[in-house]
Amino acid sequence: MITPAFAFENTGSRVYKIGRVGLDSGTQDTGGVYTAVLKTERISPLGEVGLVVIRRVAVRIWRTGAFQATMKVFVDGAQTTTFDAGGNKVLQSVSFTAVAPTAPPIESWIEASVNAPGTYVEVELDVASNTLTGIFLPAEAEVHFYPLRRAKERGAQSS
Amino acid sequence: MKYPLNPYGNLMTQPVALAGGLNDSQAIPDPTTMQVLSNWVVFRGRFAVRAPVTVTVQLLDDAGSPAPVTSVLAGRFHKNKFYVIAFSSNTNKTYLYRLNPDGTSEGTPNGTQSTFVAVLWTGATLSAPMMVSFDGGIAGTPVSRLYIADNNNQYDTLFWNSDANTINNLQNDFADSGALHNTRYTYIWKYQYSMWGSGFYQFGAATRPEMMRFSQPGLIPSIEPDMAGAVGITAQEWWNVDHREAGDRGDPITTVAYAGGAAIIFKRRQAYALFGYDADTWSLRPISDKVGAIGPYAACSTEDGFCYFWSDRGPHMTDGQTVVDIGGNIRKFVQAVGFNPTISAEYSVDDSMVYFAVPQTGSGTPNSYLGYQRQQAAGPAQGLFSSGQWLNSGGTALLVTSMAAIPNQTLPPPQAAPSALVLTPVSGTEVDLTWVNGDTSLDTTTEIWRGPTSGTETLLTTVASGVAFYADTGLTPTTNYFYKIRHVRNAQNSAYSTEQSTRTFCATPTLVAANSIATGVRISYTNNQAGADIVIERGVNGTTFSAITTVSNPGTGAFTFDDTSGTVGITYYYRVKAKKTAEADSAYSSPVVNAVFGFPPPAMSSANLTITQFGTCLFHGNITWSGTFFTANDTAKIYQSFGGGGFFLIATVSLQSGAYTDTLDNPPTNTTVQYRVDAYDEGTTLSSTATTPSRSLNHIAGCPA
Repeated sequence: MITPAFAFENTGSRVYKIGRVGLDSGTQDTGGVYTAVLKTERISPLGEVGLVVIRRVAVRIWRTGAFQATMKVFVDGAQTTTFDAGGNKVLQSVSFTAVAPTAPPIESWIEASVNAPGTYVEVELDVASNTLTGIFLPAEAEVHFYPLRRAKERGAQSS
Repeated sequence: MKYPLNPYGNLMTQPVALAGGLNDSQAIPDPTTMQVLSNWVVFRGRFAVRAPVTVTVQLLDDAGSPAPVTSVLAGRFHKNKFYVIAFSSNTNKTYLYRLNPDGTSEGTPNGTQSTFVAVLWTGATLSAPMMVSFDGGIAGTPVSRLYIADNNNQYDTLFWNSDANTINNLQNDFADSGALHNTRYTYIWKYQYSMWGSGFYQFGAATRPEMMRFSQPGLIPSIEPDMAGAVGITAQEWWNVDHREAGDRGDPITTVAYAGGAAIIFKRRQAYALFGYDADTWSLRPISDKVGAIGPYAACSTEDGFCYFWSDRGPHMTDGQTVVDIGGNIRKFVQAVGFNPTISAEYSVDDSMVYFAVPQTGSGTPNSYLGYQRQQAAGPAQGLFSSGQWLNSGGTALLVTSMAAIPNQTLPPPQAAPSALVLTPVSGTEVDLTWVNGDTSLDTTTEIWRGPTSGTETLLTTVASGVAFYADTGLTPTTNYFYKIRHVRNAQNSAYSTEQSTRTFCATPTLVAANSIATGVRISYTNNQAGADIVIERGVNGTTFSAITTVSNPGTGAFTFDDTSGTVGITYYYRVKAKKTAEADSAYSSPVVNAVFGFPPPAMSSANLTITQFGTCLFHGNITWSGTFFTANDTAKIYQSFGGGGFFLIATVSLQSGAYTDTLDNPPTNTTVQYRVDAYDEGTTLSSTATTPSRSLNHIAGCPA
């Protein structure tokens, strides 16, 4: 037995069924297109003020259907120029389009190449609701970097 | 750990968020590590795109051309159906709708739009409706009621009888002394086997809002024990004595949910657990005197016995014993709001998630939701919140009044269809139906459908469980009728029985009277069937008859027939029927009438006498007599005799009067008196006589000798 929840419109005439999380695709959503935005807090790979060169950000997606997503990378608070999979320079963000897998579910990696030195990085993943079918779960994100200067470490105390 | 400084050396990797994966359940994402988390929810330990909303139905009012309503207010599951209340400012009416459990229309006018099943209230004031599904009734006649109350206390409390599909006013259950008074509850709920209500309103005023009344309405109304014997008190379903109080006097109950087997009674800043089984065991246990719920829809319950609610300090939960603040990590969403009837909480079993629809700005209409999923591993204390915004069909913020979880539950349908439907016409206006029930469950009823032609039947009536007979009356004579029946159980229908048809008899003539006449008996009747003959039958005992004549096609109207072929003095019984070619004879007239044939002379059978003292020294002789064939013109001559002497005439009276009082002024004492009554046919011919017993006239001391 399923037991969905329903919401009642205060300023309208409609009854809305709250879809099952992950199971209903965004294309079925009543409200048209919305964007789901996920942005991480600051990540400092080498610790506070540790300097690195951010080279790549990758997100692993567990999915059962098609999707379109946009990844943005912020280094030291500034949105960074990225490169697509072919090494072509793109502006600000990388978009990904994937068709529905033939044998779902599958895991997919989406990557954005960057080349920006800095001390911390933030990653934003945007998904447009009308591009989703099936379940879409971002499962893991990684940042790949070259270390340049580690954060200042406190030396061992000596008498 | 030291990192090489060569930028072309080792490429380092570090997870930044979302660590884990669907197949790796070690890590649990923490929404607090996100700067932005918009339209995602944490679902079963993972981030997922938010639960979308889809329109299931649009509700229409009864404006000239049905227009969409202007506000959908609340919903509730009841008897396999999804009931919704909505208001239209076009008509200033509040309507009740009945949908399928999946939220679609039952089919009127189509699956995506729905018309209402009843008008609840008329008025421009928006209600905050509560609904409670309650089953009661007695064996064989189940009562399924959907109680509807207005939390704003503007409108009377109603109940929808889903067996009869009618709206009723709760005041019918409070008809003390037979009088009806507007009756309201501001909050209603069900706990154990009782209906509960608070904020009782009657006689134009609200009573103590902290008082909770309980009853089992629809069950068996009875006289309240302490009212027994009072004048004008009738059986009622809600007893004045059945109540409890929660908290401070005058502090209203805001909402009710369930946790740990108890009903959690919320006020604005208090919470109580109501538990027990019946009137002897109901008890209240305070849970919190600091935190309560701040709206009629602001609390919900989960399947594992916890209650989640929104207080003026954000989301909390309770297991019925303690209250826990679960809003610690979402302070940015939590506003210090006051009482707000549009804050709502509901638990989605499908998502294992509690949804809160709350204002973003601290006032006004809710325009965002928070999804709360408990961390199973971490116990009930803390969980994961995520937020989002639903969009309505126009693409703007969906403003939510309330939410409701509706199961696609299917209560049992009838076990089998009724069968062996037999029609028996018994008169021109009645057909009797008998059948064999396919299901005699106590909550199964039988619908009887009737129509003028095959396939055109419409619902005629519904009979109770186990009934296998129905007398359909008020029909038209010499007319075809088609019938079919089916069972209904839990709002589900069986198949129809095989359709049967029959034709009613000729109209039954009316036998008005039978009166004695000099030549026999005159029968007065009315023929109600055009073109029919009238058969007149006669008998001597009221049970066995034989035809004495047939009046050929007298036409409709009043007629008389003189029966002159009998024996004078015999009492004859008569009945009539109509007879018409190609039609079934009518039923016999009823009741039979009788009359004595002709005018036989009166026959005295007995006479009696009693002596009564009248005044100090006077007596009355009370003479009574009886016999047969007394008529208006017959007379009785009264004769008197003292001490066994001769009779002498003292009076002539009507024989039909049967009694005469003789005033014995200063009669002889210590003697006897006797009377004789002679019956005179038509006042002229002595026909019979009767003599009373002889009575003593004893001397009364002090009276003349």
